[in-house]
Amino acid sequence: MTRPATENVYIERQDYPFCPGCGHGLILNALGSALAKLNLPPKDVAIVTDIGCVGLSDAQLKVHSFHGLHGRSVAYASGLKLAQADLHVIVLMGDGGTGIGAGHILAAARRNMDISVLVFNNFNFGMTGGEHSATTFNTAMTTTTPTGNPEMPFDIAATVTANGASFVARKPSTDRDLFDVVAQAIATPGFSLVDIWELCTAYFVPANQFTGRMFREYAERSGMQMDILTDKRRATLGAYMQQLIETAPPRAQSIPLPISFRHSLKTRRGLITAGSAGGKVKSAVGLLARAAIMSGLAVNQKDDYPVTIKSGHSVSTLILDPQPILYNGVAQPDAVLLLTAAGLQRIGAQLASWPQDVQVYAETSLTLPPTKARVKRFDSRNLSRELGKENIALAVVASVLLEQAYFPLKALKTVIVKRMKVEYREQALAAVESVAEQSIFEQ
Amino acid sequence: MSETGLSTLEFLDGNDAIMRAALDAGCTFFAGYPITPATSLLLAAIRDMPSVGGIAVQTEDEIAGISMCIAASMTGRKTMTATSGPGLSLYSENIGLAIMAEVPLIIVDSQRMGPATGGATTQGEGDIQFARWGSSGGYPLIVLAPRDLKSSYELTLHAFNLAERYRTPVLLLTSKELSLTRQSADTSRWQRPELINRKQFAGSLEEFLPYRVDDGEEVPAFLPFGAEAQVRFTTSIHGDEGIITNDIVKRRRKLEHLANKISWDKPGVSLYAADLYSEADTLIISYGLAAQASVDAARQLRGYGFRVSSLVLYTLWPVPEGIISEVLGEHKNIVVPEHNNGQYLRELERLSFEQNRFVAVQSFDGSLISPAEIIQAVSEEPPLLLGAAND
Ligand code: SF4
Repeated sequence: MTRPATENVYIERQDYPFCPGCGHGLILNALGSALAKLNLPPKDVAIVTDIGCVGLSDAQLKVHSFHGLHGRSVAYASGLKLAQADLHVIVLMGDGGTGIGAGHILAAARRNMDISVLVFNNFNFGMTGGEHSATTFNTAMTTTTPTGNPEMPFDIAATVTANGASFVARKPSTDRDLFDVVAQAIATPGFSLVDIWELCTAYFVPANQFTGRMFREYAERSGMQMDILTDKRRATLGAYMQQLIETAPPRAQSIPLPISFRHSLKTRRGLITAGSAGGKVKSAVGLLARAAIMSGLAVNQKDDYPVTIKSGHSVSTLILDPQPILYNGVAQPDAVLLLTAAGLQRIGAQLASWPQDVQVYAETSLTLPPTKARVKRFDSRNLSRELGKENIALAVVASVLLEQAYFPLKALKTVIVKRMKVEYREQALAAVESVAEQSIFEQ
Repeated sequence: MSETGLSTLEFLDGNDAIMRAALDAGCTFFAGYPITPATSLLLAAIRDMPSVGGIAVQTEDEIAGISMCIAASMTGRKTMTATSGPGLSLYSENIGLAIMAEVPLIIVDSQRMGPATGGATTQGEGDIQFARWGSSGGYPLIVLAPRDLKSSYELTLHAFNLAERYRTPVLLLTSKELSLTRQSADTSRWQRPELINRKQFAGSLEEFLPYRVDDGEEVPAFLPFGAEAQVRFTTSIHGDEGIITNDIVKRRRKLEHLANKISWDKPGVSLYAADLYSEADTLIISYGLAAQASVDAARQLRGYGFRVSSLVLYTLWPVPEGIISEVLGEHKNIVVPEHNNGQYLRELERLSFEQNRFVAVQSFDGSLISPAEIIQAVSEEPPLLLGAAND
């Protein structure tokens, strides 16, 4: 295979700053030839270089260059490609970068990010002084493994092959057709990686009496396949994103809440509704909040639930205020809706400190700690039977609204009609109407 | 109260307001990793970005999130990422990169109780100093702190404008309480500052140098990756060409540029709300969530006949030294409520005059400072003295 000779379109200078005999220059030459073979306009090519000796490459090239943090080159490349789909994005990283940035490489392979990664793999850290890297062979000598490397080498090519990459190869830097394999990688629509084995003449070569003739022998000994490991096609993340854009609805507009009702409040009210996860506490209080806004009140709803959101308590604190709300803490509520034992457990400790002017509405089976607060009872089993389990919280909220008369019940019904999903709407309305006809509170 | 029938009332949380502003600012790229209390920004971006022709990615970790945003910004897009304290820690190195390479970028930090994982759903505003000093080298960036829905929206727009104008990362420090509490708001009263876009290079392409700052300009003119001219970007110390350099003159010029381009007296940088009462000797200086209780307390105190001034800071970094010096000079007792261990107090003390006595009101157990606590601090005789070294 003849190498195109027009590499100076892409390469600024061939006075590479690397040690004599270092493999990096061979790879950059192959990259220049690959770009020439593909005849890509330099303005459409972006090189992303990682840290290490390879990071000096950007100054040698005549294409766009992005030199970022150690190990993150694949993440930058992904961002460039997603944001500017016309770019051919090529990562130049060392084996050190594949160790610290392994997660990004895996993710890019799984996403089939349309970028190409060239690994300048010389089995140790050059720039910092010959320390072992993720790809150092077992038993190899480095400055941090003076008695031989106890770790197994990271088979980067096999790993990305197993994780969705489109084109993967492993090549010695000395192979004459390296440029052709690099060109194939760049031309692949999807994630491509070439694990290029090369010599670090400053450290790995002298420490291990290593030569270029030993690449294939080492590969065999480590059970690593050379040449092309995979070459297949599937959709890229960029194509998926493009499709999302093409099929997206127009940007959602907010639906305002017109003031259509009158409230009766002169001062702020605080309501705490305490129930269990899955009990629709948040949504019932949210409906009340919207109804309050439609009645001209300022509103604030704070929800409290454990990180495991399907278990334990669900507590919503609602402030209703005829004035704008600044500070939104509720030291002492005006009304407390206790729906379940989990809710009681969450806020029960405060009950003892609440005075008589706090009105508690508690489920009939709950055993309350001693309190001066006034207590009314309701039976949630009845509500569940008559209105459905998912409407208990709403029924209690509506009942408290009726009792407290902050604003008309009609405001709540209007919100249900306007804002609830059609499949829940009828039942919810029926629940509110039912509690309006007959109080849920025990006499 | 509201007698109008105008239907501009909404029910939304602080993160909703931030995402709405981001879209209104023209943000078309978001990348981030789920973390309470910032997750709803990621979800909103995934939902909304395609509708504006934008891209939203859930990344493999926070480092990839900010990395992708940095790269996307260099293609000319306005970009945003969002996280909380633990993720901000992982952003640290890339924030330094964004400063060094002059990347416009919005970072939302929805603070929660720290240190470390701390309290995922517990209030905290303890990232104040970390936001400024969390990357190596110590070069400045801009940090804004909203206190309510309105400022969440408006400061997000300002954040994009400042990021574009000064080619810098801008941190927006919100917190769990503001991010996740749903509130009523009259969104028609939100102000929309005119949008600023980064200065594009307009000269002849052969002359383009990615980091050359022309005379009289604040930042280098921009060309995106993919432009006809070669664009270079580097995390290393560089000259105008964007290539690592050992040249001491070039190094010094770059670093002086970074040190000087962000300062409190630059246009648009110092944002605050000063509500000063003539002949008041007491001043409450607040920011973030504590500003709500502070303004509340100041109103109540005035209702009782006390002369109390209030300064709410929206820009935390660079410290708005102009207004702070002015008001410290005009008042004696300075009350400083903070949801942390006094992280901004030290900045105020640094600027203080001999007559200033500082009274700290602090909470960092997740509970909110109440107006009553501030009122008590104001009326304490003599006021609790905290570190008023000059006195
Ligand atoms: S230290 Fe090793 S990798 Fe670096 S330039 Fe020298 S030979 Fe190449």
